[in-house]
Amino acid sequence: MIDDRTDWRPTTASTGLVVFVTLLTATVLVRAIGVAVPAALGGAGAVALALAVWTAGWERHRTLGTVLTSLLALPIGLGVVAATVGTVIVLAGVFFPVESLSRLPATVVDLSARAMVVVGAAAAVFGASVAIGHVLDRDTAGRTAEASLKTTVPPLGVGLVLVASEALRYLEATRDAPGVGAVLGDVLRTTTTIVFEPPAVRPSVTTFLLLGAAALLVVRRTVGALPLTELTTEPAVERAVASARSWLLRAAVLAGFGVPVGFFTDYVFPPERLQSVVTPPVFDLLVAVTTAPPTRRLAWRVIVLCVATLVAVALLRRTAQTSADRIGAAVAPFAAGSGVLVAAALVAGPVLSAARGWVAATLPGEFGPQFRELSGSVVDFYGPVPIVLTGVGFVLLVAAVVAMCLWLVLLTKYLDDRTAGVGIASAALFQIAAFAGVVGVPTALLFGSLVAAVLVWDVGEFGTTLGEEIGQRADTRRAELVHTTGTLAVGGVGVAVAVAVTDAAVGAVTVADGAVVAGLVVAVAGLLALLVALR
Amino acid sequence: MAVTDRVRRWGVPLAGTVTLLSVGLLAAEPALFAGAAIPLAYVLVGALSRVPSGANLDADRTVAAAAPTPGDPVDVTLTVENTGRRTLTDVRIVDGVPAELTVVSGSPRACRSLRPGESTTVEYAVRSKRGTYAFDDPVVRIRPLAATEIATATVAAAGDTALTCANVVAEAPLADATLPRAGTLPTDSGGSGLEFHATRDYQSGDPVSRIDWRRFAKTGELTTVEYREEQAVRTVLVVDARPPTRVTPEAGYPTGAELAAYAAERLLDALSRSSVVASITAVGLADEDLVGGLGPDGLAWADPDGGVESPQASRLFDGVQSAATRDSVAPDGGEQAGAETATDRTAPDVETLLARLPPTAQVVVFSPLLDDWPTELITSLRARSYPTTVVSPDVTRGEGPAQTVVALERRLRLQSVELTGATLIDWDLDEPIDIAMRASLAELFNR
Repeated sequence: MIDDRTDWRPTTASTGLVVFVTLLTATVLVRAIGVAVPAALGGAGAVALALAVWTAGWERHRTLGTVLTSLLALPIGLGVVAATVGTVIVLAGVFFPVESLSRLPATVVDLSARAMVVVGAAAAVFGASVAIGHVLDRDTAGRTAEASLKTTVPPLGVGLVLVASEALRYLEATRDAPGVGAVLGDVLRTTTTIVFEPPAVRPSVTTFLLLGAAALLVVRRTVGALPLTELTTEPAVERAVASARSWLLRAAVLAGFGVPVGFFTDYVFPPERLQSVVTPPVFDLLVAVTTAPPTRRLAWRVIVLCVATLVAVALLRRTAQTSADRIGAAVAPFAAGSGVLVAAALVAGPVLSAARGWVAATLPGEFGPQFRELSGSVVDFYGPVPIVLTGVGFVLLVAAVVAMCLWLVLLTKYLDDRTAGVGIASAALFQIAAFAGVVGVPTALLFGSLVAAVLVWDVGEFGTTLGEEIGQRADTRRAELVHTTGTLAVGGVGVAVAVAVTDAAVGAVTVADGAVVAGLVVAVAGLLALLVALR
Repeated sequence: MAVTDRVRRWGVPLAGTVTLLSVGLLAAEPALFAGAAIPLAYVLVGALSRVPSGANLDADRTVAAAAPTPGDPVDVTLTVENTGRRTLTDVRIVDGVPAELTVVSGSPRACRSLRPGESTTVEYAVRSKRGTYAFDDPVVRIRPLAATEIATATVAAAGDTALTCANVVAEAPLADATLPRAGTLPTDSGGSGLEFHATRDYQSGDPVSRIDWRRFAKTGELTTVEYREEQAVRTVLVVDARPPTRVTPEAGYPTGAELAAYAAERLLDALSRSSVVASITAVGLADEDLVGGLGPDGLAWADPDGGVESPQASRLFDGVQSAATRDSVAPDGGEQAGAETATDRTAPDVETLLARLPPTAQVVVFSPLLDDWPTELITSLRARSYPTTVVSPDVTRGEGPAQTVVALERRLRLQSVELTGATLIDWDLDEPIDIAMRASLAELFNR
């Protein structure tokens, strides 16, 4: 009777406290280490991820929710990239070049710790945001990952195709590409020559007939797939379609039978002998017809067009049998991805030059001009659109990967659906506190944030059980106040112990550094073993 | 008997501790090791804390209304007292509200901190329904301050343990509905009777006692005296309990079918007090709704001898109740498709009902008029000159667009019912049913 509620939420007071304490602690610690802008961007990305999870869970307006989730993938990815790569670039600009090589390891540790604080702050903001609506569970995380991944497909696919085609064109055009590129270039050149532009010195019947047969078969298939007979009631049209298809089939079969003959004329017989057998005028005509590039290009284009039509017809037939909302939810991410693609292509030039300018200006010392030079040559080679599309695709992929990690963590039950938000917030606060401790924030701030991290978990979990068992309609504030007070009291005792240990350790460190640390490790391990035994 | 469980709720702080120690090791930072004492303090306190051993709680429940009418909110107060000697910081109480009743205000759940001897009350209101509903004993769950152990127990509640919603009130509700002629219907045809009606020419075979001998003496013509004929009349109450009527105006409120049955039950009671012979039928019941099943013509029909008290009548009303609670939906309701299939299965022919009606019956139809079946029935009844009265509880009083449309359709049906010449009683649910019933009875007997 007490555990039978299905639709519940944690209590308002506990959620409010979790959000407040999380944001306060994260803000204070991030300010203490001084990387404000990337942290703010990361926080914005975290809020976007929380919104995406929320909209992915909409049941009534599924299509709209999926569109919003898909569109939010870009801010999520940008936030994650800003919090990680952006932080590292900004900090590298501040810390490098180092004064002496001996300081390099310490600087790298410091930089990594600060970056981890920023990432942790973003994660804490995400945890607090999803705790507000209690929206994160396996289902919504899975939907977010699916939508983000689908959104990634159009920009990343088009970007990679553009980049690859530029690279292939280059390899095909140049003969002095290095290593594997040279082999690839040779293969490409040979293939395109044989299929599209065979030399007009001898007949090329095999590839001609193969292309022709393929085109005829694809046209026949397309005519069959098009709803011509459904659209008209005239028996004459039906008969015409049937006879056209049968003629196409016969022509294709005939062309297929010609292929072995062509194999002999093309590769077995020497051209001179063939010319003497079939007389020179016939030979010239055969060569002219079978090697004419326009005919081959026509066949090739017909094949591409018909395959596109077939795919479109198959999609239409499938969608006609599904409900509108399901189609909407399935197609929306691709549409959103295409929208992102178009927008990115439109603003590619200015965005790319601004991004290059910022990175070059932020990177320390010599790295800035070098980056500018290197990226300039890359941009000149590929052009801004393929690069920006690929970049946007990877940013979206980052968002999809983050959502998938979230989904996996929930799927493997490392995080419980009930307490996912507060769990993430609390764990992230622990992470921030740990890495802020490495950077060297004041001890009081470190211990305070550790108490805050436990408080967030304790109050959040307690509020969750209250929501499950009692609900939001009942007045539970007094019990929550009593519980929170108890938690703070225990935290006070913990801080007192920690301060005592610190004082003792600081006194001891001056005597013998390594021994004390080892002793502390042993003591803590012993305490952990005791706890495990007690549980 | 309390069931005690340990709760492993310190997973995240333990993971945090491991993070602190690992990072501390990597960076050789003593402050992080010292800081690990903070989450460990919580884990330690959690591991040591237990539910107080002598915890004891008493519960007492008060149900405000003794015999409410269906649809009325009834206040319930549960008082829980800490009779143990230890303070309980986290006591969660869930009262055992019967599953059939809906809580309309307050919450039957609460979380309190109780010192020894301190008591707390949980107040809420439920929407009453016809019948008797027993409360389960409240469940109590206690946690220590660290919330790492839970003890769950059922506390036997003293005081009220059931909510009874009476259908039939003890005093006669319809005292002013006096009956001019109990059980008979005056007609305009002549025959044997008491009151003079007309004279006519003698026909061979007329009883000798009815020959007007005085007139024969004066004129020599044989004339027969006719008296106003009086027929014994039967009142048939038709309760519309088909699936489309099983909708509620708001959550927890009785459905249209239940209200119709309730009104019919009240009228049957009044009629039996006035010695009127009444039959009752409910349409739209499935075979499994009624104990003993439906009649061979697919109708649930009862000719109760002892009024409402008779077993046939209560069997029929219980059948309507069980059918209505089985699949009640909101008036703008989502289960329309299911309801339609159920309609096909259980809606009887108007013809079947007409075939079962005695030729001299007067008919009272109880229906919320949510579809066209009742109007079809009433039109057929009026076409056969049955005196017909329609009592329609208004379950379409919601504010939503769907309910507004349903209400509009119902008003149109009310108009068409009036046009057939039937007497119409539109029962506004905000008024007591007695007002509607008084009008109903007065109309019924002042013909």
